[in-house]
Amino acid sequence: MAIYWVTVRFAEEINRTEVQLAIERTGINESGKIIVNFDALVSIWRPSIFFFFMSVGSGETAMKDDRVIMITGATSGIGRATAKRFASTSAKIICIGRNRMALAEVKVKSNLPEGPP
Amino acid sequence: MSIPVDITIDHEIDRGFDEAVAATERLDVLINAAGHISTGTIEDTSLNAWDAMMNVNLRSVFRLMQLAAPHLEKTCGNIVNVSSVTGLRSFPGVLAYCVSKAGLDQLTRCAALELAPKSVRVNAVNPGVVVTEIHKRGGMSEPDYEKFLERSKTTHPLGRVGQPSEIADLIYYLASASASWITGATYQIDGGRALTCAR
Repeated sequence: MAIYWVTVRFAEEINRTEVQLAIERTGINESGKIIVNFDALVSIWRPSIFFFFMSVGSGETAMKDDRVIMITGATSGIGRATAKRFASTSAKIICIGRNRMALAEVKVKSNLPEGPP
Repeated sequence: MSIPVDITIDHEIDRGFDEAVAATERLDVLINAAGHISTGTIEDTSLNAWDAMMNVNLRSVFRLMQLAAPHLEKTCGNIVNVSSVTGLRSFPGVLAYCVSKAGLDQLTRCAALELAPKSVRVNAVNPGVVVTEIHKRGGMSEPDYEKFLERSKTTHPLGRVGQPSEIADLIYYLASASASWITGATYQIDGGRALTCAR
């Protein structure tokens, strides 16, 4: 699974179970693409900042990259495209976004590791 | 008169950053791609709109760079800031945005000099019009956005707007070891737009 850590920082308290449920609705579709269920995550978010971590391209075909990359604005536009670009490597990516940058899903390439790295 | 200041966000950004880096135990690259745009001139930009622009496009980047610097020093890492052609050239009607991006460019160059002795590189990319949600989020209607994209074909010498993946490729390059002797660059990636002059 792509996401191996989620930490959420809010002005208001958020029910951890809600976060967990949202993450569990993340999955792999019939084409082998990973679907990150941002709709579910965004729906429980209050105005603030969130971080999520992903490390996707650690299959055999991924370009080796041991670095940790932090990207702000990672939920849309150039930030999102950059996250996807790094996702073709084995780099660990820390995505930072805000809930108003909501998007339905981030699709990243397949050849994913089975579990957390 | 009172001026609301959300100091909570500063606090949360700091804590969030610390927890993120504590979890990964290192940081190699910081890419500041978060951005905000809105229209407005010297005559009609409110102080609130000005502050909102600077907070997202400049202040948050400054703070994250400051937080990241000691970690990047350990890994000889680097920073890539997403600026704009509006940082390099002047356009009417998007005053605060232009100023925030010009500030971001100078932040990039000054930090590049200050962090160079620590082998930390700092660069920026300066895209022209790229198809993203930023314009519509900034208040542009769908029909106006379509017109804007159409007109942009004529304002960019290569005859088209850019795609996010094209900018991502440049960011990826600047963040890589292939760019190991590049620092303080504000790299135009705009189909030639920054070269143009009205005639």
